Amino acid sequence: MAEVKTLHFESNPPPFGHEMRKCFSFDPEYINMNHGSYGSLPSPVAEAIKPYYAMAEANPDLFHRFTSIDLIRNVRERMAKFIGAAHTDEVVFVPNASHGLNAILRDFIWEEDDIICSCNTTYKSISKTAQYISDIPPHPEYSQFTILFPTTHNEIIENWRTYLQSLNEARARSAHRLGRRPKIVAVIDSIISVPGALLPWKEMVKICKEEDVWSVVDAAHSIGQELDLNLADADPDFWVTNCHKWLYAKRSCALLYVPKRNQHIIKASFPTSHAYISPKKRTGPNFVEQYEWNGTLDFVPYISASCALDFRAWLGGEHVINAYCHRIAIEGGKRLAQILGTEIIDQDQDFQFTLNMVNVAVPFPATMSSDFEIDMAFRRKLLIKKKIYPAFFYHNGKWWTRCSAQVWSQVSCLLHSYFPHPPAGSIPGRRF
Amino acid sequence: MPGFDLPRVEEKIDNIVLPPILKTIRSKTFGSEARELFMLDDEYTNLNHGSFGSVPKAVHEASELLSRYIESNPDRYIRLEHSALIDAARAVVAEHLGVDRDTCVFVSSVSAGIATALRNFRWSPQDFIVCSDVIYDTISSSVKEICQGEHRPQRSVFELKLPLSHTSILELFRRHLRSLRTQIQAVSTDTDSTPGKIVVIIESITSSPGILMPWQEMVRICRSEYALSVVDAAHSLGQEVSLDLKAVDPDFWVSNGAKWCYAKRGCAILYVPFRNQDMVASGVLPGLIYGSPSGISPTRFVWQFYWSGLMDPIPPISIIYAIKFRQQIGGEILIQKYCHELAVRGGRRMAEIMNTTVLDSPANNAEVIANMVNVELPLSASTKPSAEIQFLFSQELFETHKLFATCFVWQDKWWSRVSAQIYNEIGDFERLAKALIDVCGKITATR
Repeated sequence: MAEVKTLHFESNPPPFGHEMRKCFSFDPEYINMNHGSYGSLPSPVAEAIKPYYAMAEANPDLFHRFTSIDLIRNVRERMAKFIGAAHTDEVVFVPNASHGLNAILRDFIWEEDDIICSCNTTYKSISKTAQYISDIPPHPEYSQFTILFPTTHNEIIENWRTYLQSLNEARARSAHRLGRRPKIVAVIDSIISVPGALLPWKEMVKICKEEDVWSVVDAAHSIGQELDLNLADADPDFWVTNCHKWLYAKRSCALLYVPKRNQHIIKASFPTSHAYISPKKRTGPNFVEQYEWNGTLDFVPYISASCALDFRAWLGGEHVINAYCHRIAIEGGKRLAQILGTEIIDQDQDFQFTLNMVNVAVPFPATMSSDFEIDMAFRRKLLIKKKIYPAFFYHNGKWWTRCSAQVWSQVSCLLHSYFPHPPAGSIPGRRF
Repeated sequence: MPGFDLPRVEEKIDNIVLPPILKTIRSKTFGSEARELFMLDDEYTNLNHGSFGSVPKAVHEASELLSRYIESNPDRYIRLEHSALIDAARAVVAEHLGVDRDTCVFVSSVSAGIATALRNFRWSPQDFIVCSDVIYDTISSSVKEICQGEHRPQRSVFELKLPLSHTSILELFRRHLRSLRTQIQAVSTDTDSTPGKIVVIIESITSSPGILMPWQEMVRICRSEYALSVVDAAHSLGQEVSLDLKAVDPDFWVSNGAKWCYAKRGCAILYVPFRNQDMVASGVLPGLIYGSPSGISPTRFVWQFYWSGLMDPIPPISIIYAIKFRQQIGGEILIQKYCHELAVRGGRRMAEIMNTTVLDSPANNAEVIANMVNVELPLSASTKPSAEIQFLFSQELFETHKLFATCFVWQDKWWSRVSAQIYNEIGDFERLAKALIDVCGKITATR
């Protein structure tokens, strides 16, 4: 059976910080402070996957019919262990988190009076999916849980419990009327995208269980940023993560985790696979088979996840990488807030919301509104002119910047950010 | 990065869409000389281009350049430049198809495109989905899935008892639709309900066997019989010359850029005429709207398909390189003339060597042959298909004979579907025929 070759490195890795840029392909004049959005492919990983591309083109039939199937099974096994799944067959590859989450949400057989809920901080396309599901017959109800920063993990946990309890009360009333019990499905971020904040998702999943609510975890940012993932322990109902964000795999590569107890929920992959079996004809789960082939795609990104893990091991491993990134995020965030005269969104003294992304308020007047034009202005001025870019977003009445700390980052990067201050007395909403 | 330091996106696009590597490609004699344009292993003869395509070196290298450019600044590319490049790629494809740019969007595969079309219909139990009995297995699964459950449409299978002439196919097709229409009207009268709709999945070129269908006429028949047409044209782009979709006017049309058109895998096109775009309420993955750098708002339909989560941006852009490459080496007409003539000649030569037949219309006029030909194998129908037999075919063809074409059972006979490309010659077909005699002999001996 074909196996993915382990990468071996002759020399020691460069030190963390600017010297690590040698391992990436950035434009020498560009400072990437937004790893969280699109990830970055290390050059050694780009090199390591070239032989697989050569294989795919040297004999497309052999590769697609045989070799790639074996190789991907190989990598699935490795990834399943990495995230602490109990079985390899609880983990499959999908092109990205949106894809995986959409497949799950559409696989539920929705009924009237079901409730699908997400948070105001849920990634936009996922909350749109929830909205869309509510928009089409049989119109389950769409409900939203609010998280507003500044807050604390404990506060979120309390509020979440209260919120689910209130949904349960509504459900009890529906059940009484309908003579059957509707379901509640909750989409929970493990790490919110904007602001880039770690949620107490494992506790939230536990509360879901207590309240008989399905937990669908959007863990897009988790793998490669959250340490010691153990899904068998955390036991969410569904969990999806992007390997091409923090894990250094090639775009597009993501994992969909469905524990065996829930695999019967899986109706069909998108697009439907030749391996689809009608639910009434199934004698067992029809999960892994459906996800082995969903159209002729580029399968090398899935293989790259294994090469990415080898590269990360060479750098020192998950704990070493993330300890560095976390330190830079905190120190850099504090320094940036000091210079700007503003604050970090994570007000907790232990920075319980902060892993490798830090969110610092932008010194705009309180009257500056959420405006698409402002986001575009940041892009033009920073991305193009100043050749440095973190992400920007509007939350709870303020503009913030989300900076991603990576192995090539240094605190000085954050200091190079330049924010043109509107002059005192400027008109709110003025375009600049 | 040299050549990419220009401030204006438009200028950048010019450099990206026509990198120097493509400008230097000149045409070659088709046949074994053309092999060096591709990345196939020197010792391997690919006679199955139809399954997974093959990427020319120049297209691959242009894509690598683009990839390095993206990595140099992922945010700048994805936030500011990607939509414009996708628009440029859509324009290239639309021109090729003779339609408006904003009727074409990219999807990751034909299966994804067909599923998008089918899932956006509002179905009722009075509706019918029509497909042929040789429909591609993934599409068949998609249809089965749509037809599950209570308030779902019914499936109606149109049987293709080939060999048939195009005229006969059309006659049978028209009759099939009319009988469905009669059924629907009867139900509507009896139950006093709205008549159901008929949605037909038409394959332009079927997969196994690989048969060129009179699909344009079938689309016209759909229209005259008040049925909707969803065309699975996976094999058409790069295999059928002069695709004039504006004239044909299907309701939905999906094709694969990576099969016959030399793009990178993961590049498929979904065409939806303006009149049907409101129906597509959601790309099956609702799009996350990114800012349009040109400031010009695309239509809501196009908007949905710019971004369906973080994907590899390159395959859709690679169609620009692929079409340019094809222009440089001689153009669509020359390429397809060579491939078609080789498929016909090659198929007949193989049938001669193996003492079998070519699947053709009764008049043997190659009407049903595009660039793929189906030749009967010298293997008795008593050998039933199985995983072991498939494995034996694959192993023997790959390892002993260093070539490959698909082998399958259809209408109680064994066939091979053979693809003709510009890197193939008649000698390849002769070698394949002899290899198949050898493998079939081995299979028979083991029974």
